[in-house]
Amino acid sequence: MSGVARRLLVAIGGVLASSVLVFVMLRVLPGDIATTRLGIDATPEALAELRSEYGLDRPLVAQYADWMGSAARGDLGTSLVTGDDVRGDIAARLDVTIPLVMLSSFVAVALSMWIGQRAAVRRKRIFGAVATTITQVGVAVPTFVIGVGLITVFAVQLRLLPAGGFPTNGWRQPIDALRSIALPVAALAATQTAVLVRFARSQALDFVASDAFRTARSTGRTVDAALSTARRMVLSPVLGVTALQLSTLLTGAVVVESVFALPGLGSMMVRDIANRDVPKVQSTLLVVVVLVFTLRFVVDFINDRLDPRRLT
Amino acid sequence: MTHHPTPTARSARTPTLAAGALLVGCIAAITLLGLVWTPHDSIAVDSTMRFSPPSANHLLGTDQLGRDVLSNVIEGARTTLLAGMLATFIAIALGGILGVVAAVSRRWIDDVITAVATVFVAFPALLLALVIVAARGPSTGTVVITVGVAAGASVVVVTRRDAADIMRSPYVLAARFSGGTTFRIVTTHVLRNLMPSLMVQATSAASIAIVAESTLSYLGLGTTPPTPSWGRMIASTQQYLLVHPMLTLWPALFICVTVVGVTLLGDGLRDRLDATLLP
Repeated sequence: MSGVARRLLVAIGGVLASSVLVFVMLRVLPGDIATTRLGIDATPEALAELRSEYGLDRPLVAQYADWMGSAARGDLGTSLVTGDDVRGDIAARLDVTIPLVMLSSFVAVALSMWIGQRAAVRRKRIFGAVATTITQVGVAVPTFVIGVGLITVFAVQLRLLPAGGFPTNGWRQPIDALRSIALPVAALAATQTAVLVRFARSQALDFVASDAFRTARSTGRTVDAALSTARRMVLSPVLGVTALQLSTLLTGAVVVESVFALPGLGSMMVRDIANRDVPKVQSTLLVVVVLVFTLRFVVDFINDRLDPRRLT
Repeated sequence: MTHHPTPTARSARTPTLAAGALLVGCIAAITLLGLVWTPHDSIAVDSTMRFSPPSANHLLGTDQLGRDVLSNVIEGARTTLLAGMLATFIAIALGGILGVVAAVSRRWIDDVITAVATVFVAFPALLLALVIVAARGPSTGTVVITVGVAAGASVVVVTRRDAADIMRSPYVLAARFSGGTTFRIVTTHVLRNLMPSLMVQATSAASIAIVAESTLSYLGLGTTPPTPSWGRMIASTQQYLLVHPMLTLWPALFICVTVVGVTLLGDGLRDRLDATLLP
């Protein structure tokens, strides 16, 4: 089987397994959707009506099949609270979430490559020690604390960038949109960078100890020029970890969008969770899961091209 | 005369461990202090004292409702540390037991445990907690149990590997030959040798749990009022960041000290135990 087909199968299997987990956690655990919605004083008739409207009186397996069947046709159901079409709500918010996630990944990969390689060649100097310590400690700091810290410095003290919000016209005001998303991208990329630097650094350390590096140096190349010959070798494992970290990144986006009041998928989901809008949360999570596996497929696809050995 | 390293000399050789223990020790001391004494009632509202600057009476000042910031920070430590400890206990108990069971059981039991754990590992603990809160409503208990289970999944995977390594070691083989049952081998050899690995994993579970509790509380989906929580303190004061930044920065600082301390403790433990005890 070709590499692409295998990756595609893994992605589909991953989406299905995750959808089962989401469904089980939202539906099988105690906590009745109809009672939550109508309150404990609701009449049995009203409860029964709401249950049949949302198909909650049917067997769980049938409910799962209905949900996935409609989702495959593009119908993500309606909100329990507002009655709005969930698909429309989600589509309007992907404009924020997808650029946020993709820019953060890009920034994190580029930055960790730069820091990791320099930390490897300068491991006995200040840069290496500082970079290693900061990333070791930085991994632990929660994303929302980093976000609040960035707001304090860049929005409140220096007044360089907005503290939150997004232009009403969205990306039709590209400068304003980019300015609004700059701090959220930085907050989301920070933790990610800290994770990736370790891998970039250890890979670069292997290269610096190799014969190839010594040969490159002895033919008169500078350290940077010698390192540039190993860029693929360092990038490949970094992209591999990035692919695995995408679910953490999307979870981080949920937090970051709330910190910076961005109208994205994550901030919407936090509000829906607070409102106990279970059907909407369920479908939003399905979209998040599809997003994770699609992005993972893309990153793995690029990585397979960079390092064909991964395919064998 | 041979020189024996004193405990201080030894901890100086592992500065991360010492630094981590110091930071965690400070937070633990503050928590214990909070059990018997806080400067003021943490939830006492005083509308005449809103946003008052630090003074002898209110060492860190008061917040937007005139509540004493220091008392809230001290009691917030209790919430965070308790949530972290309980979730860690669940993660280690669940992950340790299932990991050992998977390592010594028949093939199909091993496969089932490993498969379920692998699916859970792919889900970030915070996301799992968000899903459960959607189904059950916000509460510290929900967060603790969910994060404990989520962190326990990776404990299962690591413990299963470590326990399987131990089961293949010569001394276990020797114990088998001398007639030891699996139960006896597990209780006398496997559990004892798993301890270092479990200790390191406990710190990483604690760090995940502390981050999850404070993040969910920040989002309004975790610890519910009136229990003081660092995450909720940050959320409720963020809008005053321009005029009163310290109201937000104190709880943020305490969160950082706690998670960085736990992480350093874990890294230090790993470095110290790696060479000698970890399988």
